[in-house]
Amino acid sequence: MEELDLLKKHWNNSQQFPKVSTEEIHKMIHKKSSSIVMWIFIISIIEFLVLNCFSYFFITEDSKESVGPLYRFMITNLDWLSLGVSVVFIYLFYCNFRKISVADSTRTLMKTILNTKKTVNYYIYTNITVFIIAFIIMLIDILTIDDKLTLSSALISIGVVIIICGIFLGLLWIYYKLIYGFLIKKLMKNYKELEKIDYE
Amino acid sequence: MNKNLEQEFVALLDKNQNLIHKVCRLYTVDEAAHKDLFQEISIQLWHAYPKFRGDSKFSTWAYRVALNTAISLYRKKTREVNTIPYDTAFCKFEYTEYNYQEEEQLKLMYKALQQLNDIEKALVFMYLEDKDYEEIAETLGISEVNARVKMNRIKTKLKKILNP
Repeated sequence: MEELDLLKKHWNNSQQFPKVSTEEIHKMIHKKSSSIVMWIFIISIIEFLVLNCFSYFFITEDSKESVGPLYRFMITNLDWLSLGVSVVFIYLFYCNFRKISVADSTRTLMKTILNTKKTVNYYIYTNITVFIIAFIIMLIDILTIDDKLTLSSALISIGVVIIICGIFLGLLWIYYKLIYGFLIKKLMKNYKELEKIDYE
Repeated sequence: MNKNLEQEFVALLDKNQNLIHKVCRLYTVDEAAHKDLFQEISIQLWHAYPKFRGDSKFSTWAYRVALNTAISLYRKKTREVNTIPYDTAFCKFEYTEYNYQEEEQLKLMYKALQQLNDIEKALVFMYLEDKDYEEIAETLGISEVNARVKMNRIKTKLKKILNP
């Protein structure tokens, strides 16, 4: 490879770059990082906060009125379940985040970053599952508590719940496509590229 | 972090700044991005420095952090203003004996390198830095045999880019 060898010949001695002064380096190292890891950390914290607030405000104590026993039991215990889930996932997220070391091998570094992000994903999936279960319980509640409920109004209720769930999941899907497209796409591509080297 | 540690770190970084520049040159296409990446690598090095135990050379540790930053952590900023491409006075080759043909070949080589993906660039970087395959494999987290095979494939790929 003539050209690569030519570049190798000049690689260390002939390449001239503008010198960065020590004063500039001092200033530089105190600036804020704009790395993917920093963004994942910020976005994950926002996701934890938003989901927690959502679970607290979405089902309020007021909705305990005029509901069936199953739904009432769920509302009373959902906050505790949500808190427990959050504590476990925040702990796991913190442990994974601490494992990220930029001096690791490239593959290990990428894996730990992706694992950290996965923890937040699992947290979101868990919350979605809890919300879907809550919706189903609410639906059962509506269908069983009211004796005068006709077939058409029952079908409308089911339809409304399915549409709400669909919109919610759709928005979440768009959000993730945007976030991944924006943040993780390059990392995923490079990780797959590295994996490919060992499986080719 | 204390002042002495900072002084010590800045002195080491200053001494090894060409190494960081070379990584930036390979992973960016214009001056502004080069400066951005240089800054991000410096920040990452500084944050990781307290964990640097000195059981390897600073330069060995620094190029690993620099490559990892370029491959896994750096996010290109979108710019609206026109950027200044590299073939100005920002990065240049200085020779004891100037050779126009060599200069042109080197420019073409850099253009060809831009067509490689991030992992391939890392392999080329370590090859140019004269690292052995054991170290290349360890840095990337792949097997030594596969590092060797991949490097040969990259050479073939570059040949095809340069001589279509």
